[in-house]
Amino acid sequence: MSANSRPRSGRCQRVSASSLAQMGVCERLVLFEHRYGRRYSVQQRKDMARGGREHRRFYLERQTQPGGKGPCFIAQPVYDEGYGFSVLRAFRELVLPPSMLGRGMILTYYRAAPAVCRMLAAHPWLIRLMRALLRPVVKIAARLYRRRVGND
Amino acid sequence: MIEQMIAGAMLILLLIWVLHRLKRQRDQAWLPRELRRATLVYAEQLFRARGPITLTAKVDRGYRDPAGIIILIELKNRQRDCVSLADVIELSAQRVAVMAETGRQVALHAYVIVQGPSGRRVAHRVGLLDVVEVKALIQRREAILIGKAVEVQT
Repeated sequence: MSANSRPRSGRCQRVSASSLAQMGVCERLVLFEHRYGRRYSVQQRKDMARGGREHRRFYLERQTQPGGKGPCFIAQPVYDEGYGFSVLRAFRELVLPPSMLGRGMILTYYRAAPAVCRMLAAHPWLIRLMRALLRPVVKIAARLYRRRVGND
Repeated sequence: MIEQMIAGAMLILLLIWVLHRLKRQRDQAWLPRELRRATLVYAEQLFRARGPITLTAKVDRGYRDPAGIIILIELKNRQRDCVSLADVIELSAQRVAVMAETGRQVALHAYVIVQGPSGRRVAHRVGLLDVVEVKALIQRREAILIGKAVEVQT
C-alpha cells in the first residue's frame, strides 16, 4: 500500500506537487494509484533513474549559472551545507581575508572552482573522492578557525 | 624577437578567452533571456503550504528577477520535446507552496526545461494556474479519492 492510499480521515493529510500533477494526466489513474499503489515498468524505472541523475547534475550546475554563485563553490555540492561546508565558509570569511596570502588563495579559489564544479557536475562519483580529499582540509580549517575565534 | 613572442602569447591568451566565453554562452544557451540577468535563489528546495491538506513541492530552480519576482523552472527529461498539463499543474502547485512559505511574489508564468536524450535543453514558457484553481484541484483530488467526485475524467 502506498503512502497515498492511507485513509483520508487522518489528521495530517498532505499532497505533493507531483502527485497533484497526476490530475492533469488522468483522474482515473489517480484513483487507481491511490487504491492499488503506483506500479512502474522496467522502462519507467530506468527513466526515473536517469531523471534522478540529470536532476543531480542540474542541481550541481547551479554554481556556474549567472547569479548562482553560492557562498562556497566546491564545498556546497560536496557537503550540501553540512558541517564541512560551514567550517570552510567560516574559514574563508574569517581566517583568510586579513593576510595577503589568504586573499590570494581566495582569488585563486574563485578562478579555479567553477571548472572543478563543472567536473563534479559531469562526474558525480568524484564528489565522494573530493569529500575524502577535503576531510583533512576541513580538520585543519576548523582548528585554525577555533584559534582565530579564540584570539578575537 | 621577444616582442613577437609576447604578441604571440597575448594572441593565444585572447583566443583562449574568446573560446572560453563562447563555450560558456553555449552552455547557458537554454536559459531564457528573461532569466539571464536574474539571480538564482532556490535550487532543489522543499516548500510547504500548510492548510487542511498540506501541499508540499520541491522546486528545481527559482530565479529572482530584477523586480524581485520569483520565476520557477522545472527540468524534465523526455524523449520528445513537449510540455503537458501535468507540468503546468506541478509548477502551479510549486508557486502556491513558495508563496505560502516565503510570502514572496512568484510570477504567474514559469519555464519547463525539456532535456532530450542528447542532453540538449529547450525552454518552454508556460502560464500557471492561480491559487484558487490549485486549491480547487486539491479539493477535487480529495473528492475523487474518497469517492465523492461526481464524474471522474480520463
